[in-house]
Amino acid sequence: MRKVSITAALCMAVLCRGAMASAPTEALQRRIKQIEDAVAGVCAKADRGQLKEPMRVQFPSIGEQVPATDLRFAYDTLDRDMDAAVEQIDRLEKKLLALRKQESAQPERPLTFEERLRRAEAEAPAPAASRSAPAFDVFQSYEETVRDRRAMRDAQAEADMGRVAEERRQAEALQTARKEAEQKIQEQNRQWQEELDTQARKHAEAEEQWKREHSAGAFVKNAVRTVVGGAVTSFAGGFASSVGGGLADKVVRDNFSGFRPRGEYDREAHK
Amino acid sequence: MKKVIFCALILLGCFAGAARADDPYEAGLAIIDGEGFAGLDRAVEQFKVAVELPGRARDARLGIARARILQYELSEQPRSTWLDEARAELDVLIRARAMDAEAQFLMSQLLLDEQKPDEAMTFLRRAALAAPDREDIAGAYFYRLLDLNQIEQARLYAQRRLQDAPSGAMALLMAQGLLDAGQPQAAEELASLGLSANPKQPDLLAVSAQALKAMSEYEKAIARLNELLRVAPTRSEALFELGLLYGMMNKYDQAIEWTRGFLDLEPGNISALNNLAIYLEQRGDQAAAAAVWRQILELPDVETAFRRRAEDRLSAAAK
Repeated sequence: MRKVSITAALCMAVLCRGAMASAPTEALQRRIKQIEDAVAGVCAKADRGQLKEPMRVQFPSIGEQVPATDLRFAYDTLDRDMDAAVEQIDRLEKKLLALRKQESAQPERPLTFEERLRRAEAEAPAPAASRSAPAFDVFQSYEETVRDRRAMRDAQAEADMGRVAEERRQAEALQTARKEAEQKIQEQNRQWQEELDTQARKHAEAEEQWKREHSAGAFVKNAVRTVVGGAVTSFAGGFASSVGGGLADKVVRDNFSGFRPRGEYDREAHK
Repeated sequence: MKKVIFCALILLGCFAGAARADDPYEAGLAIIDGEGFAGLDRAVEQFKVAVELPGRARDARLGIARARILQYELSEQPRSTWLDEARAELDVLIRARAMDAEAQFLMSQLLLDEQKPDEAMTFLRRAALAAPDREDIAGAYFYRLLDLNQIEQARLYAQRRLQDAPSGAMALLMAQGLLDAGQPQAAEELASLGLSANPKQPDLLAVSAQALKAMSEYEKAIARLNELLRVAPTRSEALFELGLLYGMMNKYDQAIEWTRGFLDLEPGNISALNNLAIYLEQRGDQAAAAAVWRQILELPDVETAFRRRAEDRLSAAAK
């Protein structure tokens, strides 16, 4: 019976620790959402012309991790106010990511006997002197002081060099990451372009085939139709009409369907 | 009396029609509807007239900006002046209304065209904040985060976006994005969120099954695929995937059954034939496996890898 209750208590403790660990991240995520919702609300108000008076958005702090939020929005300074809100969200998001990283890096596990001893030692108060300090040699002390100072200076210089090297490494890593991101974007653009090319080629082939089969005067139209190598489209001038129903036309029409009244647009988005 | 009302309605209709015909903004849209890409220049001329009309200025300016950006993106010889013109219109709109989501969104597209990804992200983020109900903007922001390798941020954004109102389309888009970015667990979380509100969405079920498979949660993936087949019996890829999953779990009888079911719908599918032959071999049915390997070799235009494997297995069986 005792064994069972100890096991249950341990399980509860582990569960509680887990819940406590995830609570700050959830609170942070909730706070970000609250700020985002508030920003959306302010934007909607501004859109309707109802943001005549400056508006204050305040949320209280939650525990130690989530600080209080105090934002101000006024029509005249909306641009800057929004930047401030975005900055706040960024800060909270950084904190949230750091906490999540910490949580995933340190899985909860019971401490070993040695770790418990070390922790107890670290937490114990410093021992108080039980008698007066012994007499010491002033010259020996001087020598020790000089040696310590030199050692400290060397250590400082080494640390500085290390820091510079680390900063350089970080800058290089950042540069590499930026280059990789750019390459990725370019690669995606290239793939998109290839996809467009493929679709256009297929479209052109199908159209040609159809016209060969169905249109007596097709060869005249074929003479002016063109699928431009890079961007699959037609020239803006006279050739454009000869690629009736081409991909560029579809892209243009699709893009402008977003300019219809919102109701219709939303229906399309939910399909 | 009825006649009078009827005449009045006809007259009203005429006036409305005339007003519509006189509206240069509508005329611009009609040109684009009719002519597509080739009509963009003429549409812009109409939009420029509409800018001067009360109540039409914003739509018209957005129309000009969008048309010019599209011309820049789709033309063989893009002119930077098109982007300048678009920027001028968008600047006016953003100055007038700092959080005009549509203008911010277009500005971000323009800046991406100009190879300024960081600035583009600032505008895209503002647009996403200003109009949380716009799924196209939210999707663009989410995919931009993924493109910039900010996967954790994308995941957090998706969770916030879907927590309160899990839209099936958004859940699908975001789950697929995270799955492609190598985050199956996050993808499954989002797919589950989406499925909680749209339990019979076949694409969500399929993405969820893919994510579960990537997490080696084979039993759960099988359950999802069975659900998919219940709501969409024509989704043949579910049969293929079920064969694959049972094969991964070394349950070859079921793997063979599902793969054969898939081949009934798509006979000659080289991947399925290849898998079937392997499952038959694993079950110890060498003669049946050899028959399938031979069937692969008889197919026209078989990829070299499949052909070589079939030849190797047949020669090994002959020894």
